[in-house]
Amino acid sequence: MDAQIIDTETILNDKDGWQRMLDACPNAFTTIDPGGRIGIFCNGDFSTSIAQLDGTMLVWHVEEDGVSVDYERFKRQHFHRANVDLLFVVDDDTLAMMHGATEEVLVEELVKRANHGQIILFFMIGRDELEDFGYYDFLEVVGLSFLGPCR
Amino acid sequence: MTAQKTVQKSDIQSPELPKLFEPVKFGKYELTNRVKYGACCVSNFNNTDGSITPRELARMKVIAETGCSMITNQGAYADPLGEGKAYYTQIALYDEKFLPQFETIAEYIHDNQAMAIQQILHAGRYGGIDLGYCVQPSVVPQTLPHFRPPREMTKEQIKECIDQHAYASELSIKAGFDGVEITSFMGYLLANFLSSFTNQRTDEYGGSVENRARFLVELIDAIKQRIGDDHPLIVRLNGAELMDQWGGNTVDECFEIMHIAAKAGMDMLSLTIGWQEAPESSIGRDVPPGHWNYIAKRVKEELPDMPLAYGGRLPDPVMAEECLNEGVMDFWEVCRPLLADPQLVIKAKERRLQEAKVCVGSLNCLSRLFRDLPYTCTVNPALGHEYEPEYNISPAVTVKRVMVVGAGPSGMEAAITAAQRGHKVTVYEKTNAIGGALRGYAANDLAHPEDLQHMVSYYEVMAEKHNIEVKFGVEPTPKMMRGLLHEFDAVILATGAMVDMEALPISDGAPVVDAFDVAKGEAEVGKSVAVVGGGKIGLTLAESLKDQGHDVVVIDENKRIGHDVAPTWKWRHTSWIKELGIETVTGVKVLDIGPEGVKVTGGKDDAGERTIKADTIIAAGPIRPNQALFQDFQWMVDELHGTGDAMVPGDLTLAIHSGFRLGCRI
Repeated sequence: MDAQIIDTETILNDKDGWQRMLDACPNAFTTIDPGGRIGIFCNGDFSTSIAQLDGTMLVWHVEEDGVSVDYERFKRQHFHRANVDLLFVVDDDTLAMMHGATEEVLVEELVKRANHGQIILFFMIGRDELEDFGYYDFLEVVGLSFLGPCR
Repeated sequence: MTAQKTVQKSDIQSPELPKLFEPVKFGKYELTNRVKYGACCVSNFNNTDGSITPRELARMKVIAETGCSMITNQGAYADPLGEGKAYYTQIALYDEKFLPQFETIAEYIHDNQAMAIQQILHAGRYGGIDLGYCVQPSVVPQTLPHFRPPREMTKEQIKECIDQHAYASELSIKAGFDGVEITSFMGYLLANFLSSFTNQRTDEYGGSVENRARFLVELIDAIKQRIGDDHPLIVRLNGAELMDQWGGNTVDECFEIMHIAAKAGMDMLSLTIGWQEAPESSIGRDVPPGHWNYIAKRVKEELPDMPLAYGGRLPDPVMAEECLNEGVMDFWEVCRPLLADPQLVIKAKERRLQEAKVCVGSLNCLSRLFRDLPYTCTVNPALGHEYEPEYNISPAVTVKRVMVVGAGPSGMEAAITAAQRGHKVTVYEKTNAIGGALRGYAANDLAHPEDLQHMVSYYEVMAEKHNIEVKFGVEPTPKMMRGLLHEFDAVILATGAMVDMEALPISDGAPVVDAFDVAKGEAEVGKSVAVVGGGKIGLTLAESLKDQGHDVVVIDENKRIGHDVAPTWKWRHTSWIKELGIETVTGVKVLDIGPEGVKVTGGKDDAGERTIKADTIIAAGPIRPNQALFQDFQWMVDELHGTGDAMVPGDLTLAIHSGFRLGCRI
């Protein structure tokens, strides 16, 4: 059987599809203060060093009444200027999973893939801000709060 | 008939380890054996200004007496600002004002005929703990939320940093240390420069492997110029970062760097594996001992003349002996096993390894540092309390007859400690074996059950050695106690915890069994199993049963499973649950446990009432302390104490520590 070809670009640019996915995850983002921003950047099969990352970043804006979708240019050289609080760098397969995920699947899959190295989660703001803005609770909800040092 | 002495476990000698204990030369230094005490991160026992406390000195006195021939003092940061400081009370060495305590530590080590090494540690990406930032070769944000936002180092800052390392090295020698160690352990500054994950500079310090290693080469050169040829420089380098999946160095690149370091003048290579933030375990209990030996072997093949110290996930002296014989390494670098039992090397030499406590790899030591706490050890309650009389096993002023009820970890810790102090101890155990709940956990552990089984074996050996009488198959009752009136001066109730069956809505005919009975193999389990309670006993059983082919569902009223699991192990359970495909039903209310299964309501999507069918329902929570005997025994004995789960159900650490402390003071 041929391996399934994942059209990453189509998936990434499916703004309506992402909005549907976010609307189907009503609980995951409720802990984050309005104004929160989460970036998703797809790094193919991770064969490209993060030094060379350059492309379109999907951004989820947390608002008073839900989460909206937007896109921004992302360049690794401007890593520190990326205007997001959390940045998920994911592989093709994980992007596809997220795109079609229900909340249950998202929670189920994120931690598994993080443990398998298919996701790098960058914290773009400090620990206190992460806590103040509700990201710690978000990580708890999506099952990523157990990632930590000393394993 | 001639009486024959039964051979006891405590009589059996452990193997001789001639290679481990052979004298060896390192540079101009004659060493008595091949054991190097690794710096083992930092203790967090010191002052926030970087000065060393009496608590630390007391600990280092114990470490100096471990029998290792080379002892590395924990890493000191070398800059006054604290950019290199990884932990709130990490020690500093940027000024002569710090020297007196370093001199004391060097003296302790020399008093024990060992070679003293001082580690200089700039934490880089994990540093700046008192500051609002950390410094790195490039700006790569953190993947662990504990750490600070990054700033890129300028070339001037790199030069200054190298100079600070060199000065700290000079101070180390001035304090009496024989050599210096620098470290790229687990993702610190040196590792940040070397790794393509964190070094994306475009100047001469970034790009090719050679450029990324420029900082290392300049560091080696600057330090060697200051400390001279008589004082060796040890470099801790990654054999594998386990970050390559994220764009970090490959194993081949790590080896390229080792060759560069050797050429630059490194005198000994201390091999490490993994970064703190790596997506893969490197030193946890789920990594089989000896797993990384192949990397050490490759080092010896590629750099045969370079002395190699190594000990990653290699906790056992017997395994170390085998590795030395097989040419895997030249020195066994050991740290956590010596936190677990500071007498480990001495016991190995005296062929008394059965009396040693082993590191169970719980990682309580390291993980606490990231909560800004001093490190601790699950199996060694005295760690970090060496200067407190309350933690010393001192002879009892009055010898007492002590009864211990329950031979689990807490009861046995109390019994052994009390016996070591001279008390006459009798343990009453209702089953026919030592170990209590630990035995059940060991039998069902998917990680590395040998660690937990060894603890049980240790208690058996020590009970024999200290002439503790263990009465098996006896469950003390108030009636029995009345018959023993005045036979004991003190009673310790270590009766453990139990599933609170009365708190569960169990109907007649429900196929319910107690989780602790299942763990001990005392209850039959059908093909389909519902585990009510997603705490550690429930999860351990669910994983084990699923692994054996049962269909398993875990039901928990909490929103998340693993509420009572230690933070260092929670991720492991959540991973196993997902990998094994165990269904979890969380955030529900259990309405009824009946013949058909478990009726629940609520949970995800606020689903209504439904019954989860199962052949067997394992009651694994709620857990409550078993305190049935306290009320009656209070009027039957002079002193009554409780310990471990019988007081507050907790983890192995709490059980061991409370038992030990009670044994020390009774």
